[in-house]
Amino acid sequence: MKTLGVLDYGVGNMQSVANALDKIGVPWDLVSEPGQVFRYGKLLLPGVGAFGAAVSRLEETGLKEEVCVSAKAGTSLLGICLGMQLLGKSSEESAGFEGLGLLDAETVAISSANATTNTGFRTVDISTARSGSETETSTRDYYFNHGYRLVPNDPTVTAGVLSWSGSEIVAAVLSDNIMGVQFHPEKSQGQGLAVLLGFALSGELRL
Amino acid sequence: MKRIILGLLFDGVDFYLSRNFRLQRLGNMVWLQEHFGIFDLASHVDEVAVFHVARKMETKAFALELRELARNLFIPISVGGGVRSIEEADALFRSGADRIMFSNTLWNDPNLVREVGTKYGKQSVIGVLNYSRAEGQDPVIRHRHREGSPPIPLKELPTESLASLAGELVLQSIDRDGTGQGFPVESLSHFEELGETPWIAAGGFGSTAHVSQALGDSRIEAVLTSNLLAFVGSGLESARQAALGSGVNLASWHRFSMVDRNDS
Repeated sequence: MKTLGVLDYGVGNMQSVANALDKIGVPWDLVSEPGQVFRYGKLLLPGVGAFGAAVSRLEETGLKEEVCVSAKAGTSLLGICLGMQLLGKSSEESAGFEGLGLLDAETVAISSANATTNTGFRTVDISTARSGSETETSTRDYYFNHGYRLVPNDPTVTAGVLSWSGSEIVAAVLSDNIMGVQFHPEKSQGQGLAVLLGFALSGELRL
Repeated sequence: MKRIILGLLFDGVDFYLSRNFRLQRLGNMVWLQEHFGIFDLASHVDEVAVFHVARKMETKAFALELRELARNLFIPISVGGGVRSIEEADALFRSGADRIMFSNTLWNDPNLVREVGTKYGKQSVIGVLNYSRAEGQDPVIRHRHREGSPPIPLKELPTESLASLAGELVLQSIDRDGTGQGFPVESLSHFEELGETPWIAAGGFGSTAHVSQALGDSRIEAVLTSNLLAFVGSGLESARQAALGSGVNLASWHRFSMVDRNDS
């Protein structure tokens, strides 16, 4: 198995992702300098915290531009939680900050009449067979902890959704080599580790 | 979907039991794994809450010990106790914490709580309300704001402030802590002024029936038990199955071994 690059821009829970990759036997390197990005065929973009702070760090480290170049050249990129939101263009959490723009999508607050955060294991409806006219769906439980959600302008990139407080939240996106999950696979027991292993082995999103 | 949370009282070296907030040492991580199968217990819960107790260790050193604990936990980890600066919170997040729990700091340094929420999102902050209730009286919040701090009557709680600071609130009954007599669900009606912030019930869980009863209450989002003696062996698995059997919506998942390349 080829070594996975884990983007380290000083924001996020690198230790938990590292623990999970160690557990499933995936070789990984932290990637903290732009000159390192091109070495990897598969990149993980973890993230917790505020959108604006993450964008700033990606820009300061020089990783933002290099990751975009690499992803546009076909490198598999999987964003986790805030990392998925960073794939889009912007977030109402942090006006004036531009995301990677690899997906035509914006991030908005998830607030409803009943809650402003979504925390806990939630059942995700997964769209699997994407070729032809038939789409199979299945469900699986993953751990979420977020206050904002990504809204793709192209609904065909949605790979999984969850029902939350009377509305629907996009739980996973897939657009060729660009992938994201709003949940935390590194915190979702065995089925979360399986998502990481699937990505490490194939560069694909296997929910 | 509701949650069962396993509480671990840890000072960076040893783990403890608590009864009415008085601590009793159990042993270190190796001892705990040998006698309680702590990492197996964690495969039957939705989350682990680590309380930094006894404070033998500075928070940044504690964070390094947390890192070792987190190495074998693939579920969310909340950490509380002794966080006095954003740098200490950073150290805990870097070591595997997903959320920080604040109790005394809610009253003595709410700006720090807000700073953590701004940096990591409000969903990464849990407020802990340790309460006691005398017979026939309303509950009061006990805290160590400063030496001799008087308890806070519920009606004096800054409810709007709490809702803006924390994504969830732990309602921890000091009176039932470690007793195994069950969480005092009847006391919840006193907390309804707290608004919509989800509640985690803690204190008193001693049986599968206690867990099912609390999770069956629509006001409770999760239960938190640190009573390792009550749930040793298959206790937490039984509690989960019993709750599922009584109609509680809990997550289901694969065991580690299904994807553990070393096991296959």
